[in-house]
Amino acid sequence: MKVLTVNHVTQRFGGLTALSDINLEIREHEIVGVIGPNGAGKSTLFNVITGMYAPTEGDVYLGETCISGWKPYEITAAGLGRTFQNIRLFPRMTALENVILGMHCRRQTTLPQIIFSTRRKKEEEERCRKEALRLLSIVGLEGKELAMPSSLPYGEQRRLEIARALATQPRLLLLDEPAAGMNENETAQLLEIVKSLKSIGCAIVLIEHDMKFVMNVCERLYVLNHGEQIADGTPEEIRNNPLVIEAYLGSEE
Amino acid sequence: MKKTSKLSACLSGFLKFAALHQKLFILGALTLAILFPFLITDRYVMRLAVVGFMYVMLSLGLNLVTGYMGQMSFGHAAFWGIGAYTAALLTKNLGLGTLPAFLAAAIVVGIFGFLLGLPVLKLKGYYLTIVTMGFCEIVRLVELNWMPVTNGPMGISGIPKFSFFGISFHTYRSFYFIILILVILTTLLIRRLIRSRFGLALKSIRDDDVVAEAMGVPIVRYKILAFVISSMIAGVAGAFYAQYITYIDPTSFTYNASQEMLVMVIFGGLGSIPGSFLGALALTILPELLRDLMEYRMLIYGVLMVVMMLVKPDGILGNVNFDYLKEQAAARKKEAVK
Amino acid sequence: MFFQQLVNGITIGSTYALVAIGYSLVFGVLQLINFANGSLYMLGGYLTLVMYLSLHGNIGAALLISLVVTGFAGFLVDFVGLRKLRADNAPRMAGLISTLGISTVIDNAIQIWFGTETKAFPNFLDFGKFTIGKTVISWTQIIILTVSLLLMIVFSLIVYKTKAGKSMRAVAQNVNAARLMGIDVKLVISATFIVSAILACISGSLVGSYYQTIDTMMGFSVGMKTFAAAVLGGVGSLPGAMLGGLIVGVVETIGASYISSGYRDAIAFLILILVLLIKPSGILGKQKIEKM
Repeated sequence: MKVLTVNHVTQRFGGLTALSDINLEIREHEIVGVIGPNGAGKSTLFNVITGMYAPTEGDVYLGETCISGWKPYEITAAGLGRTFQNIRLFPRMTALENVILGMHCRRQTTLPQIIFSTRRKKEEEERCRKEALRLLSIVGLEGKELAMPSSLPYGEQRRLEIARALATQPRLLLLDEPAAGMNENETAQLLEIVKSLKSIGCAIVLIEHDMKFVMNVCERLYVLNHGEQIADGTPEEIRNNPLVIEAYLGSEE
Repeated sequence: MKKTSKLSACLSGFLKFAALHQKLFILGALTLAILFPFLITDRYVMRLAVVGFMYVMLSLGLNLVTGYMGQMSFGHAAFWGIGAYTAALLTKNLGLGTLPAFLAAAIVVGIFGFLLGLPVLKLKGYYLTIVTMGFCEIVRLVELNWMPVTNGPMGISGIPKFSFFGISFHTYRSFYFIILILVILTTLLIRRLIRSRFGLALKSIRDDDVVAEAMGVPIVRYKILAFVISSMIAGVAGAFYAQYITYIDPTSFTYNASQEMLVMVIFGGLGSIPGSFLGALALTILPELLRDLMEYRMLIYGVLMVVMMLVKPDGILGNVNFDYLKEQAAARKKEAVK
Repeated sequence: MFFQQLVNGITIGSTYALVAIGYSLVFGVLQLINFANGSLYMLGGYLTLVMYLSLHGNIGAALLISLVVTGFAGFLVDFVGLRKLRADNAPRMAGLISTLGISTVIDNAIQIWFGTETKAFPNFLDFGKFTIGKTVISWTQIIILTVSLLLMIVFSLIVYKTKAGKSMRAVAQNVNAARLMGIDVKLVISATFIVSAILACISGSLVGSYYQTIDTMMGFSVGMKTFAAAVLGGVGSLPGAMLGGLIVGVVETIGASYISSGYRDAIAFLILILVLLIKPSGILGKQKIEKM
């Protein structure tokens, strides 16, 4: 079963071609990495998939449904969760509230039910709270539910973002540089969490610069350079691909 | 410096106490509010209480948009005015009772809120502020120039007092209880809204609308919904005002009135229900005590807005989450037991 | 009749353009609507009048003093109301509320000082008039148009050709990068506010002289209209602000003469709504790409 299909996607901004003819396929339970030097178009690709930009050409499928041109919230409801490169938690909401907000598209209470505070609404409220506490403990944040995001250390903020994304009940989780700015300890912790997410049953795509992390966690990799897809395969294959080596060495000059 | 830190420590201590005894405080306030008209017979004080509560209602409604959703509206005086004119015309010309008048005002104003919110709230950014400013001014111009309906600058006089099912009410005590019931209903409505997924969605829009949308919140729908609900509350407050004061004219519903409401919300506390009570009541009573400074009222409001932003941008009770304080205290207690 | 209205519209529109530039500049640099802009426009008009009267008709000196004082007021808007908020990283709405507060203070201070009634303003640009066909054109109009256009040209040259302008655009694009490149960001922001206040002051004085009256409500309504103009042209775009100002002036003047002058102030507002509905980025504005 394919979870995500990116089909010949091209993205142009004015005269600039940020992505050209990208093709990805993500299957269930897979952990896949998208790598490439700075400016390769990784973030643009994420933004196309999540509906921040509508692709100029080509289509994105989530499962069997074509989602290109959909609004971001519709895509989230269809089963795609994400985190952000530069952590974007809701600063004036507690950790718990941040996670519960993620459940928004899975909740059913209607406005009249809210206004008349029906039993259904109260039950849902309680259910969400329990579920959010469970998610917080999955990412190792038990006991932190009342904390404000800014009071948490960097690594925990990243994990809180993952919990919020999980709360949307995604079939596919996109992690945008999850290990960026983390120290070794935090990275190791993150590695465990990402691996454990596999058992939850969602596929994961991640953009990452930390090669050790990518090679450790990903089963398959796609490599982008200058907006073009230059290679894909297992970490082992990628490591020995001359095109990839050239792209990285070329960019490091 | 030391003095202010002592003051804020005192305030936070009091807030913690209030958070732990929420029910007690609410019950106490409610009892006081119910007994108030029996303890006070002075008409001037009663009038002040009625107007004060009306502003509480307006502030609560505006707080939904400004405090929880983070958008400033200068249209609420206009909504208030449209509600007042609607109720005035319907009760005077068609002999409608108070309840149908409230309902009609809510619906008419809700439609205006929807039509105004639709083009503006689709956009990110702060266009709402300036568009509602213009809206307020246009509504005033229409009230002033549409002679056959609004009677222009002369206004509408002889609006019937409140009547429920054919029984009319004329005493200050009854006016007081009508507005008290409206305030209680509004408080309940806002409290329930913000403690639901709806309220959480609004807060997320306030904090970061791009991320809110990416997390599955249909932000445009929620912004419009909140704006419409908020304007409807102002509309009902207007319908109350028309039947209470029995004479309305365009000078009541101006840009300045919108600004007063905003100052009440900002001063009392953005995103705080007790804050709206505090802001509205304090800024109704204080100007009465400082009558000599009447001329400087708007000037002082302006200074207050700037100073508030510099010192405490969320207002006095803004961002004080009583449930949160309570849970925190409970968590600490649990730890102490261990 | 039509050409007469067109000439009148272009004249008043060119003064709107000056104020609209102020909105666009501040928005470009801080992504903030400076609500005090309209009040500075009114303040400028009143100061020119006061100085003119107390200096016994020496208009040059009166204008100069008015410019300096209004420019300083513009500096204060930022220095008092916004600088601390930026340092605290306060939510953006705090900045809006703060400039609104300052606007309220200026408006009401002037009202308390002068009263709300309309004041007579000297027409220091009165050099007679001439006619082309049926259209009457006064030298006042010619001068207003010339001054406005000259200011716009000079101003565009400063922004696009000088080092100071470059710093301003750098800060507008990326504050942190600009700071790292050694640009004094505080100075640039202050300069932006001072310049927009000066433009508002010139505009207010010209309009006072054109209508020969000023009143305390003019800041509010012109503030609204010029904001509409800035949005119409594309917020953040200088040529857009100029174009928007001219369009609003012309449409409003022609509209008022054909429909009803009672609703004159409503026209700019309707333009604003229409622009937001059809093309929120404005005529010359760029669609912004959300950076994640």
